[in-house]
Amino acid sequence: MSILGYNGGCVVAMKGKNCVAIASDLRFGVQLQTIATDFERVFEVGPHLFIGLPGLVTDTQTVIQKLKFRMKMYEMREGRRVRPKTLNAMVQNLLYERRFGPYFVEPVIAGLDETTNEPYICNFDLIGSACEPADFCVSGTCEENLLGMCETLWRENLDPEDLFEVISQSLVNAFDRDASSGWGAVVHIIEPHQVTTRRLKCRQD
Amino acid sequence: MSSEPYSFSLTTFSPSGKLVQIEYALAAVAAGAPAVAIKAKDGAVLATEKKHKSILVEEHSIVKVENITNHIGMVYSGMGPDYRLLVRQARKIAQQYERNYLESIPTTQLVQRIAAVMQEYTQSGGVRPFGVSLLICGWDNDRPYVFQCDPSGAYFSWKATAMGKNYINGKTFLEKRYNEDLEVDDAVHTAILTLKESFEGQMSSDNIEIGVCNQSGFRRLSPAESYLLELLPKPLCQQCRVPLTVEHFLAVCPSHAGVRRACFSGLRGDDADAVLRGILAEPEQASFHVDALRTSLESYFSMSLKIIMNFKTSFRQYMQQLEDAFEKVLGQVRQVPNVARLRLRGDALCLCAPHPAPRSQASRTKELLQRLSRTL
Repeated sequence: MSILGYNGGCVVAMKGKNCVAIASDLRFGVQLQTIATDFERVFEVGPHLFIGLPGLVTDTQTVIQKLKFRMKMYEMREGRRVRPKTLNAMVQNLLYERRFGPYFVEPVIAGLDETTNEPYICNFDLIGSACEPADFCVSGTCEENLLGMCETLWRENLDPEDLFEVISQSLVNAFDRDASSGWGAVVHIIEPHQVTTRRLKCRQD
Repeated sequence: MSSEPYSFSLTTFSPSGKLVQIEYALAAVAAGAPAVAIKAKDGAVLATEKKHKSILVEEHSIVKVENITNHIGMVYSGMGPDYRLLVRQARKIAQQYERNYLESIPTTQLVQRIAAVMQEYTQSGGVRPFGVSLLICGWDNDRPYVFQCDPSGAYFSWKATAMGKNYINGKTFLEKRYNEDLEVDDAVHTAILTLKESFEGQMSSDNIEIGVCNQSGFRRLSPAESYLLELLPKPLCQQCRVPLTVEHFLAVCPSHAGVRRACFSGLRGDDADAVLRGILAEPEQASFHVDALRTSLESYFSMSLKIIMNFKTSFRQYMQQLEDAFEKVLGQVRQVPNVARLRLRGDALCLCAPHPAPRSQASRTKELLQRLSRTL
């Protein structure tokens, strides 16, 4: 089994009309054994900026700590918040610094630019190659399932309520077909004036 | 100085709490060539003197005003070799930032980092402080910035400042001349005048350097843009490079020949230019057959006066005003069937008494003449 599938987990992000959504499952396991069912792998790093880190959990924890360090230093030096595009650059650099001994995480970021409120999503591979698609980003052990579900359900210009439905259905139906992911889900909907976090009830297996 | 015994080592404070080496570095700066920076409404300007010790020096092989990025520029007072090192380091810092964050470095961030470099050299072993003060200007967040970095590592933000030789006079001059509504062209003019205060000899485009920073970035002005240096009271005609007077504009400049021919087609003779110049040469009485003509000429005259009086406005604006005024009046003149003669004297249009004309018209015109001669 690949090292990226050792702990299991998945993350998906989607763009809507003036909003973005990011969601993940809650399983933390060691190969076949499930250890915890409340492990969050999506972190809030700014008022309208989230990053999801599926992959090896030890690296999830380390990368988010290092990233928060760098972001706080930036914010203090520059006197301004980190914008989504800047976070993209920071994550790329952080991952590529370990090109020949990488962190086993494949991050996904989702956020709104603080001045223009433009939606932004982006995903990376484990050595920092960034991809900024116009529709949705997926990552994790069931990424092929997620790709299929998102491709089917996503439409342009979904408003927040519909976006919530679409992202929840994509995530849940995808990880239901994956042994290493599941055991509950968290969805964050990010709009210019508020961020809504909901937990989903789903099959606990 | 009483602090002489403590002046040999950089890392030792003197009893008065000073680091004497830094004071000496500032003295080196104050002995260097003058440099000026001014922040305008829509940009910033850097200027420095570039005197050469001998006429054998290749004038344009050395540049003092340098780009650090597309939108940030720098100039110095003090020791040239120290400056070169700082330019290299600043450029590297700017590129590293861009690599880390995929965006251009904000001016404030660059200044802080350069100042940190300069400070390092005041607290390390075996090195001396930099013998330069830097003036850094940049454009981001839709506004200009001007900063000064000292050998001690201190940095200041300025609206306008001077450094190097005679900097006190320079600063006093700027305090009088600076206002918040300066545009970049005016700021260039003011910077040149500030440098002129302490300049020995004839200033030309070969012995000063100017850099301009605005929304489209930072660039050093080339010697060909030397028209800005000619501090004549009036701007120059852009085609002919002679002082731009109403006379030149109305009767002489070849770029408006077409318009003149079209508008003065009612004048006697075929060559409108020659006729107009002839009129200028000989003082003749003008006659007014139509009130409309007089009114339009009046308004043109007062507009021209205003233009001549306000040549302090930027060069571009002057040209535009002159062109607009000209077009407007000649548009009106074209409609009038009987255009007799205009009397143009030097820089101004003079309206002469009509000949013969009813009493009322004559007195009105006389009044106008008197008013105009007073304002001239």
